[in-house]
Amino acid sequence: MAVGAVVARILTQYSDKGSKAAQKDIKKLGTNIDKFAKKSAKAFGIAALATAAFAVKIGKDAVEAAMADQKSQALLANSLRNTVGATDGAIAGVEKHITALQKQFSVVDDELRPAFGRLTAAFGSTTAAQEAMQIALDVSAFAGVDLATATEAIIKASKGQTKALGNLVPGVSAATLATKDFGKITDQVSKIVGGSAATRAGTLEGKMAGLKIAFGEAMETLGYALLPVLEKFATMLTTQILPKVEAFVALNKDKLAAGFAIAAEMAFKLLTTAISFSDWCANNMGIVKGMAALIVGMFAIGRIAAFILAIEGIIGVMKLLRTTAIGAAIANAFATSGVSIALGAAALATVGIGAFAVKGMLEPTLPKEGKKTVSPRGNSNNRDFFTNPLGPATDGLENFTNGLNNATKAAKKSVDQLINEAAAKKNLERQKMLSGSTSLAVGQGGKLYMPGGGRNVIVNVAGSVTTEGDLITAIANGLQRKGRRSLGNTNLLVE
Amino acid sequence: MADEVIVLSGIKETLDALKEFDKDAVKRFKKVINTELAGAERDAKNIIKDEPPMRGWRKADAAKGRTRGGAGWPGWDAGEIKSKITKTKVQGKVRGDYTTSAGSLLNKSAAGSIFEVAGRNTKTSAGRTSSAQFLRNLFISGGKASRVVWRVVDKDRARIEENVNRALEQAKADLQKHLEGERGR
Repeated sequence: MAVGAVVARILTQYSDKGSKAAQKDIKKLGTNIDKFAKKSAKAFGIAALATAAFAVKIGKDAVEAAMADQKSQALLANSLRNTVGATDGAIAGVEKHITALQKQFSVVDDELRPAFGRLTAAFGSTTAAQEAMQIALDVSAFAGVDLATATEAIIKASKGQTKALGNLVPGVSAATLATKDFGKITDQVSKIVGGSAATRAGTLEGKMAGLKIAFGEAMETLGYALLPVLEKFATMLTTQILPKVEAFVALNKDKLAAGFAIAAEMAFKLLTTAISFSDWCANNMGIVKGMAALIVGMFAIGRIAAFILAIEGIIGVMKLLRTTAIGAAIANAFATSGVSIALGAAALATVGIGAFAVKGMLEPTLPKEGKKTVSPRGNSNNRDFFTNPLGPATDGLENFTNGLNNATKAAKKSVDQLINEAAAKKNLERQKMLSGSTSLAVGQGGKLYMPGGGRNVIVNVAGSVTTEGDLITAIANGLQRKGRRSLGNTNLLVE
Repeated sequence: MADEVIVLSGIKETLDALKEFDKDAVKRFKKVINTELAGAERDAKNIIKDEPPMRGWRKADAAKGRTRGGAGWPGWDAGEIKSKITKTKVQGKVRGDYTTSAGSLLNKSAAGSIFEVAGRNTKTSAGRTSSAQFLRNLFISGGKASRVVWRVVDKDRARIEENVNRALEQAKADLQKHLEGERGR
């Protein structure tokens, strides 16, 4: 559309671009509404929790208020019974009167009841107490003191102690007070303070106090509704649940204790094992990784047969060693350091090869060009099988197999050497066994053998020797004589 | 300006679908729109006279611009004004009522735009200012705004809309016929 041109639209058509935008807007609006709803729900949830918490508090306060009110009522009823012998009906009437006073003058019943109880006790009747209560309420409002103080002053005045009442109501003349006539005094007091309680109840303070009292009454009402429930619960708890729990514990205390002990022991063992195993794993992480890679490599490549052959080879060497060890000379040879070194060398070689294999598996290797090959199960159609991804594992296993074969060869060589060494050693021992006495070889084919540092014996044959036997006998006799003199016991071998 | 506006719906969808069955029907519909828009364009161009609407409106652009932000007052070149009165079927911006244009007239020249809208939002007054005198003279020669494309649109829009809407309904009917024929196979 041209910029700056005057555009006069002739034909108008509907466009869904706008509607899409509108749908987007509506969706966004919906999302926002959802969010708002969630937030609202959350807020309402919080509000509900707060309400629940508040309800719990209200319930608690209500129950406490009801309990206090119940206690107050009970005390007053008891007082009335004791002082004036009030009946239940009279007590109910007093309660009704107190409730009316409470509403009328915005004074809580918890203050009214004690005051009424004291006035009843002082004047001996509920009727007189009601009249005195009215005066006390007015005095309290006039003097700005609590109802208990005003009540106490009136009671004292009824007994002739007018000072307190005179202080609270200064307008009462001293002459009137001096008469100690309770009737006159109360008349004058009533003239002065009459209507004060009602006036106070009509002020904002009084109305607020009335509101507070009304709320308190509502709480008490609620509390009275809750009290039976709590009482029932408490009763059930004390009479049914706790005894059964106690009985169960009493019956099963030993088992419970043993069970706890076993559980604790097992938990400790499990914890110890877990810690030691984790320590071992942490300390041998290389082995763990290597073995895992080795196992993976074994199952992933087609060289398991070579590995098994290598294992069979070393097993064969071990069998040979065991068989060879049956011979006495070889058994002795096994105890020598030579054999230990040979076996240790083989073992070290094996361990070294294993370490090399693991090391080779763990060290990064140069990337090899991956190629597709036949899968381990022989499926040539499995074109997803690559040898390259398992390169480290295959190399490691190959190294391990080769090393195992080399170790087997080394072990075989060691066995051959071992046998030769053992035979030579046996000869040496035999010679050592013979080296304890003088040896003498006589005769043309014999050789002079000089063990133990050698000793030359010269045999002098005197006279003529006619036969060979005579000669030998003569030599032997001469040697024995010579030996007896200078060589000790001599074994003479004559061939 | 007509109070009621016919909103055409499904023009693109109908033509796209109809193209598969009956290209001639598509051509017929487009011809209706083009004809109506061309007629409106022609009517708008006919409003432009060769002579300026007032004596002091020069035919050439101001040599030294002092007005219109320094651009100077545009000369009354009837040929240029007419050439820049064009028709378009560009959809343009979608309005808040989810409608856009299917055919419009444009008055793109500076002189033509001034002649189109001058005094549209200003009442002619008896003042002695140059602008008030300009509007009085313009009102005498060209009448009250709007004077070119909007005048044509106000005059002919209902007829054009009706014709195009009828053509569109015909195209839809043709499409429906083809679709039913396809279904019957």
